[in-house]
Amino acid sequence: MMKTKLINRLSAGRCLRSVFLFAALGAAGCSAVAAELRVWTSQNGKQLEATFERLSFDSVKVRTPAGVPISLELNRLSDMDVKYLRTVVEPEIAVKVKKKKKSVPRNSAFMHEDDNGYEAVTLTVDIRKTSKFPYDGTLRAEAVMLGEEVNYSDLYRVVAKNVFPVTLPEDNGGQCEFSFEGRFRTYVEYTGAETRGIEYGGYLIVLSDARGKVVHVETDLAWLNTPEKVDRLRTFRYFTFLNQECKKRSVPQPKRVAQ
Amino acid sequence: MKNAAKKVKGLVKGAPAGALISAGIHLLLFLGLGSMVVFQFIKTPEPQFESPPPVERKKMELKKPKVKVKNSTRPKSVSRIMSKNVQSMPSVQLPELSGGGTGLTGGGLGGFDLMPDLTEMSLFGNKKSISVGNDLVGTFYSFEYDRRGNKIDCGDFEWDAIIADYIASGWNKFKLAPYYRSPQKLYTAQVFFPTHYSEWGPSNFGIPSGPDFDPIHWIVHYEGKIKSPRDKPARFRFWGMGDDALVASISGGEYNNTVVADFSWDWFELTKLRSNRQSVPDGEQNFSLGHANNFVGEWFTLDPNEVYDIDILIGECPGGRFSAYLMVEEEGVMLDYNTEGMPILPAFKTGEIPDVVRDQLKYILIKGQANLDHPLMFNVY
Repeated sequence: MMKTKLINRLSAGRCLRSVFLFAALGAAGCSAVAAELRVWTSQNGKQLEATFERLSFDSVKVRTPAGVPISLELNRLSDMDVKYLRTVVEPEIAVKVKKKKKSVPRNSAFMHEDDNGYEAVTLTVDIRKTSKFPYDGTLRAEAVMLGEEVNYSDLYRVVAKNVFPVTLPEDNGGQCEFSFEGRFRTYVEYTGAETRGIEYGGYLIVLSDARGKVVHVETDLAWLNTPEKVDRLRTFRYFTFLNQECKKRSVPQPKRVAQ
Repeated sequence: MKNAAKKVKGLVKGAPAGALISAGIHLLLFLGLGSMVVFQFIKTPEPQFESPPPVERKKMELKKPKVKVKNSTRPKSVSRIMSKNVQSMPSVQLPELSGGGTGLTGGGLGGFDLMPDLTEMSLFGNKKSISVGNDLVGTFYSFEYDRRGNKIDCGDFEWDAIIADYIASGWNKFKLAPYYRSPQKLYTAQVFFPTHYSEWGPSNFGIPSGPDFDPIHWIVHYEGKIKSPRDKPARFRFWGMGDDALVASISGGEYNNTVVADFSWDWFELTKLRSNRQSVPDGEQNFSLGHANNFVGEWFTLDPNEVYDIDILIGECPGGRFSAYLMVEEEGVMLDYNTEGMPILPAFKTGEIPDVVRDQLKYILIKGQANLDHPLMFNVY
């Protein structure tokens, strides 16, 4: 699955450094699964205590407490077990993000000549389940939008941060869509000394399951190329300043001009 | 002349008898015909309305109008403001999710906290209380609109006079009853607005900041309670600058709606304090604050056992730049000085300033013009 994502991303002409991100994501994702010991019941009433490992075509791979791997036929499992599987089998996901810009309407009679006004950027995130096995769980989508400070090098600001519930019901084709908005503005500071403000910088979408395991990451930020950076960015609140290392930076203040 | 008059007086003897007969016949004819005319006129029947015969018409075929209406077409805005988004809600309601997210690198990361939308925490305040009991509660008024939101015109001097009357009345809200008041109140711990463009100001009160609203001639009245942070009587005074209005008064103890700061723009006479305001503190130079110079208010004493009411008014008159810096000095406390020689005073606050608001303030505050991190706080609880 990770390989497919990687190939898709490379074919889309995105940065090669994303390789590290997804390689690390895969490793981290596997280690994050909490093995839950439970009783599996077949349709004829036979029971087995084991932990779920993975779904492989029409069989379920489980492991007993003694460490013995066992394969169970999917079509012979009880309804309860199938329901359970529909919440724990991680879906394969494809994400498309569309960006739309528009100017925020203003009152022309009172516009200040040095204020360029706000530009609203709306990102519409389309999430589709590409795997066949149904998924009844709810994913959590963390959506972050960054602005890039003008006249500063390597300085970004969190301009939007939202969390969205994502369900992928079969009757909707396993698809879910949400959108979120960030506002960007540049203006000449009243001191006249500098142009300040932010322009669109990029986005980060992180999808995680009910256990907190990250199942997908989508970004257009080429420098967001390690899992550590992604994790740090996820901890920042609205209006936090950061650099490309995803380290917090102090708030830039207007320059003083001698009067 | 006398002879002529005598000639026409009375019947003339010797006149022809035919003339008399003719006159008699004419008299008879006149009376007879006249009576006939009157008689016939009276007998003439009144005209009666008769409906015209029905006309057969073909039924009209109804046709759809040929005018196409775009889905995106919106009705033309009228000069009336409507507040929006009065009640704030977190934009996200998630079902319960176990675990807080482990992050990409495994343990330790708390993931996202489900918290209110921080973008709603503006310089004007939050839509929900941030520190119950210690909040300054702000109410927005616009004198450009009547109480129903219909446009009325307000001149600069009317704006000045309305505020002056309001303050002089002891903040009697009936004085502002004719004008638009936003139903959205905002809660804040500080009244501190470094210079920025007034066009975007009132939007946090649910007022549209776009073309439907004239962002002029508005005020915000913040009300709250304060208590001295000291355990013995202490003297304080405000420093600051307002473009266009910044007035503060306190009540309680020896004070009764006593205006202790009027840092409003020079053109306006909002309070009597204006005339004896100290513009040059302690004989020193004026210090720059934002895009103008700072002013200093009157000393006031806070008793440690007393809770005081505080009223703070800010406002914008003609539009353009807006600011309201309200800082506080405690008598006898040493402070750092900025490069201009001005003490770096703590921003007046009644509670902790949320980090997200503090960062927004710093972004537009020239370094050294105020201290947003100072512990001095006038919270009651």
